[in-house]
Amino acid sequence: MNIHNTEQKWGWPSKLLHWLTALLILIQIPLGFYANDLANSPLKLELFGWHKSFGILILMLAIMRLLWRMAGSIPSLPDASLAQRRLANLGHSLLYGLMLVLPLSGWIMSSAANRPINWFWIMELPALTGPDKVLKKIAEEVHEVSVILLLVVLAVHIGAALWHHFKLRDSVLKRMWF
Amino acid sequence: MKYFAKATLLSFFLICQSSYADQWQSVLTNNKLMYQVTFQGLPIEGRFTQFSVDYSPAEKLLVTVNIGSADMSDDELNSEIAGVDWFDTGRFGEAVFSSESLTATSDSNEDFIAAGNLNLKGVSEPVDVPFVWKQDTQNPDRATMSGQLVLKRSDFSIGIGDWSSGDQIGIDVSVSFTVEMQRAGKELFDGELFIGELFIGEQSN
Repeated sequence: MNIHNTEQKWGWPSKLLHWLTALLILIQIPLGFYANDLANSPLKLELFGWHKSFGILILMLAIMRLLWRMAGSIPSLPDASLAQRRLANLGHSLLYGLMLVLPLSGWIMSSAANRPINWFWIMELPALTGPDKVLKKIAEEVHEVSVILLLVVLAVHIGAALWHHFKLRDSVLKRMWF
Repeated sequence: MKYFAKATLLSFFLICQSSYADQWQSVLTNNKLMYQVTFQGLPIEGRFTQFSVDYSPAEKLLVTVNIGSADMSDDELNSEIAGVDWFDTGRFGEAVFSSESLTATSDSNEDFIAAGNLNLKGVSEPVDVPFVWKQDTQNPDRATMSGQLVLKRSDFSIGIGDWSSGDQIGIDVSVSFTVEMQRAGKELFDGELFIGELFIGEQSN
């Protein structure tokens, strides 16, 4: 397997990072909703500890992926119209944007609420801000709206991949697999 | 000579009064009573914004804390700690430490241990409060009292139910304080001293 992406193929780092992120997001979203609905308890704090740790990991992976993309290239969509390419581009930009905004707004929420983050119980993350009621409220709103938007964009992303695979029968989904 | 006698008498009275009333009270500003606990293994801090300290050297240390004034810089945390599992401020609004004995622990006459009872959340437990007493070099009626001690929240049923395991929120609570103290009745002292000086002034004329 090649390291670098080519015009037709994804290199293994891009594939690995894609599926690792996919798995983390699959855990992360239900975990966040579930923990949020719990009454305050040690379990709630522990689950949010994992939620914050996963979130920061997703942020780190997203940054790595963006740098990797910028350092190299990505395969182009086979037999796609200009409109399709633009839509795909918009969708992917939104996904990347949300993979940055969601963890960052969560981190700000935590710092503004005076709660430290012990990343996977290994490392203390620096506070992004001091205690701040207004900022906490804003970050909370951003986090909530962003996760709804992410659910919508993810549905389109997965739907498009399946559409390519089963209807168009092209290589778009297959080439992301190993 | 009549004035001089009056002045001397007054001075004598003042000296007696000042040594008799060696009572100190915390001033309202510049005081800190902080507590630190671990949140998932990391320190998180809170403070009591309303408390008072009364102290008479070699006799008594009395600390009264408005538990409802606990502030952890976040509304959610503040309402959580006021609840029945934690401070239960609805039922136990005040904590009181009252010393049974005061012991100097150094020759400098600055380090002390006040041994007594802390009454918190309806539980009275013996607690030693070590403190440093620093007399203000400029103002003999001012001093700073500071110290630190570790309490176990479990001793006072703070954080009950699932919280009692200490799993996410630690059991040890580090309490630290820095309190500006003022000699009680200082205003009275100043006023009389002023009259005393006036008499002496008249006498020398």
